[in-house]
Amino acid sequence: MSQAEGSGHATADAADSAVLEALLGRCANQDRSAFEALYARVAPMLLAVLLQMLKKRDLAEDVLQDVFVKVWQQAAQFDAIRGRPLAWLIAIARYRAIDVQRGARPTLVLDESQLELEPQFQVPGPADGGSVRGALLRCLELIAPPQRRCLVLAYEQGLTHGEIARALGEPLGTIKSWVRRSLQSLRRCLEP
Amino acid sequence: MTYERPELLERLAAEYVLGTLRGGARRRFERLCGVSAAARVRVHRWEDDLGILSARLAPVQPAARVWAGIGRRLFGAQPARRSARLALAAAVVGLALLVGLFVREQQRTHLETLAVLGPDAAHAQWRIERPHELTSLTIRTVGPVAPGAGKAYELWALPTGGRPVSLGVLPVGGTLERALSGAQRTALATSDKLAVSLEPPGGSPTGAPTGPIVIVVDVIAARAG
Repeated sequence: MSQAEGSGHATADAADSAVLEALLGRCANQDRSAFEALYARVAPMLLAVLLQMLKKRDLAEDVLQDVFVKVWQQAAQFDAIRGRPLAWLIAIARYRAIDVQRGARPTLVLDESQLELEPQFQVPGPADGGSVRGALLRCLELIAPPQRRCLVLAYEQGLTHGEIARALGEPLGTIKSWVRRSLQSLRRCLEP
Repeated sequence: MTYERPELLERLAAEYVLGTLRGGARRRFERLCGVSAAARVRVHRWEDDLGILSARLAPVQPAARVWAGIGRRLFGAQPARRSARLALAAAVVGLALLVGLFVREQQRTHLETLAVLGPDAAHAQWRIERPHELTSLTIRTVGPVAPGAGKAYELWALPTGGRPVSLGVLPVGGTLERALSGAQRTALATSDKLAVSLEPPGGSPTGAPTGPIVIVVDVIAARAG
């Protein structure tokens, strides 16, 4: 439990919106030391996201470079009103990874462990309480396991409908409607 | 296809963020987001919600080459690369130019000690050096450095009558060359002292020291000429 608490704390630290907003604001003013601090704070997390999607370390690190070049160039476009600077940074990384995947991706090989949901999904801890994170995990809980697996494979591994269909051995049409319906349930649950 | 229907917009936004909207449909939706606030609002909401799944991953430390590459792409060549390129150009142009550049390069790379940092004179931890033209700092780790878990040492210029200006996080080992911004050069030029504070990893999030000041030392005056 102590380890879980430790990593939870690190995540909360990296996710501190006010700090990230301040750093992005300084980046928009061409402050390189703020850029360095932002990199130190979020690059390891973004690399984890990219590795999960791209699998290859070299490729993920190349894409991480693209991401930070873009962050420096677009820092002024981050809209503080929309909030959640970490979500903005993650989205930049994920979209770049999706663009890189498009075209040349070798035939996908998934091992069993990647098809399993991680324990956090099934058991939102007491620490999640009424948090936004807790709400998302609770809402995911309400989706039937095969459908939920589609969402997780698409989001975390960056799989297309076709790739999910092959990985799970289900028809393409089934996967498409599972994804569509589970996204609808998620939205209804998050904002009843 | 019309994008006006809210339920269609919602589905496209969700699948765009999830990543299952691909190819031409993905690019068309990106273009739509450029002109439609309704599309952007939906995308941002999904990014905020699903981003939580990414934030729980165990972080992976990138190789040092990643940061170096970002610096090269955004701020130009690193000094070592630049001198290599200068030498190559010189070889093409001619020997006379080569000699000229060599002399200039020697002047550029000749470093003077700006300050020696440590808790006291007998326990130096870093030596800060500057080229004659104050465009960068070379920071050499010369003694044991242990900021403790989850902490970093940050270097500050203390300009006379002004607020401390960050000169970046200090290395825990090895030598680091750091280019100076205009603001950092101005601050250093009017600083009689440098300070080191204990900060979160990556340095102070606010632009001012947030942790205890652990070292304050005098700047060694640059030799004239």
